[in-house]
Amino acid sequence: MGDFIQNTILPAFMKFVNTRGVRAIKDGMMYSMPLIIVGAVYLLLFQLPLESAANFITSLGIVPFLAHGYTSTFQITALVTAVGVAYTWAKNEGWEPLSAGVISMAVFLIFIPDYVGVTGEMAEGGLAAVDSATAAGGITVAGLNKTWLAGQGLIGAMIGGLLTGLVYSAFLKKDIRIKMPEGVPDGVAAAFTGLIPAAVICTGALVVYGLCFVIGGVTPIELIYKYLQTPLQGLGDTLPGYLTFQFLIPLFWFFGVHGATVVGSVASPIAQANQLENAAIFQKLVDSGMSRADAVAALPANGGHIFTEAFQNVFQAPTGSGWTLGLVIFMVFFAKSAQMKQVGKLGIGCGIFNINEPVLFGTPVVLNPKMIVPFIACPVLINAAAYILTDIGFIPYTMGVTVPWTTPPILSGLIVCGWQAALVQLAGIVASFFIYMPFAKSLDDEYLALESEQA
Amino acid sequence: MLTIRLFCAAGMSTSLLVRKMEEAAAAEGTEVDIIAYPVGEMDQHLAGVDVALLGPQVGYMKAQMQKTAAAAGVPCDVIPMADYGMVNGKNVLAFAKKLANK
Repeated sequence: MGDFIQNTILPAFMKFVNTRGVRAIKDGMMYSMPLIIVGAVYLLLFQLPLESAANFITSLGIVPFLAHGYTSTFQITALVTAVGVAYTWAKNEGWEPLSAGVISMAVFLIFIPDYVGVTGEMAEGGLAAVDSATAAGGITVAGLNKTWLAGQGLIGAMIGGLLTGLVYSAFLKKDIRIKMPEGVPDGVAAAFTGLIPAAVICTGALVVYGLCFVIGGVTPIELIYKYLQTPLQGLGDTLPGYLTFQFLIPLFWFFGVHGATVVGSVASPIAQANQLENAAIFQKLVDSGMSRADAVAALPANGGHIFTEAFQNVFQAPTGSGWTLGLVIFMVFFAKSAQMKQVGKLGIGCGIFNINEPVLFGTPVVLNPKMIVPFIACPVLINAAAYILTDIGFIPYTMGVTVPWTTPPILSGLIVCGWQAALVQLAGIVASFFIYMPFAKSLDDEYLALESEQA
Repeated sequence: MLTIRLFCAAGMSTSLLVRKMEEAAAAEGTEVDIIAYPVGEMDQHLAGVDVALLGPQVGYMKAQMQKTAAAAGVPCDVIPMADYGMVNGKNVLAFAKKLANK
């Protein structure tokens, strides 16, 4: 069975994960991470959960600046992703990558509406919303329609990035480019490398835009959002969908493969889009005059999502994939064998920062049939509990604030969702101890017997 | 001087191993230069490198990464799971030396 998975199923799946497109999306999305984290800090500062602290920030008069910083970092994720995906694709193919990224940025801007309606308040959404704003007596001004620069435009940005990367690389591979005579400096020649692909790709994107506009009165991004992104987002944001991810991550790890990376290549775009959409909904509710607490409470009713990148960072793998801190605590305080004690010592420091490779490979959990049951049961059960507790309203929905995945548990829960999430994380750690204990005990006895034999 | 580069998913878990390998090298008097990077950046970190090691959790990318490393003339292999898990700096250093043929 193990051989079958290792030799047949895994290679097939890896082939998919390592395809050019999936790699480009996975690595290309990483470029927006610093902006998301920085933007989330701004957001946290001007939307502090503690009222007295929030009033203090307001009294300083810096809220508009923090908000400006937030919209200019966090809220341009799709634009950055458009650059990142095409950049990564071209880089992996061995071509000059920045030109591809820049062309992809233009394609993305071509795909979105280039004007916004103004009725006194800016009209959100697509062309129809802009038109109705105009019809209602508002005016129309040229401008970047920020609705699409973050969550709602994310999948469209990826598609534009992939197509740009594909066509750009194909052109360079066939050597269809303007060639400079010998002696022209490299920098000058490089500037012309992207010229023909840029002309073809941008014109192609414009034709698509024109067709959508003339036939449907919509922009390409609106079509992608409605027919591709919305169904995709719904897919991960159900209990079975979410738990499937939580089941697959430790399963991959059991076979020694970095499960979070593999599963993340599919789950992350969805989680990311959901997160940005929650942030946009939250912002709209706050702008309409709601307090922070009311806006968070109103997220479920206004189309918010449970499954977001921030939610993942809090519950998916605190203390490492498989919630292994319980196992580490057993090893440090209760194990008798030298092997387990040693792994526990190595694992506790990094475990606090959600890294557990020493535990996975040292115990080992990987390919160890004794450990597979708690290793899968722990994350699945705890995540099921967290999802349900969010669904029934105990844990607040995430509203955009997020933390790097290496933030220690309890602290991460506290920052992202509040004390409720921190409490559930703490309960999860306690539960993980009891789930791992019988299995770890049996393994410890085995090692102890082996060690006394050798001694 | 032995220049070793370690590559894992994010370059984080492996940094623990870097420290242990440096300690092991100091103990046996070998001069080393060891840094850990994310595996996705391997192509940028191969110049002047004697040996590239992969964490077992990204072992599934071995074939592809060996090709990348071979293009730069750098030997590349996956660190044995047990040594990686126990953060056995001494064994991994020996493994790197053997691979680098130095």
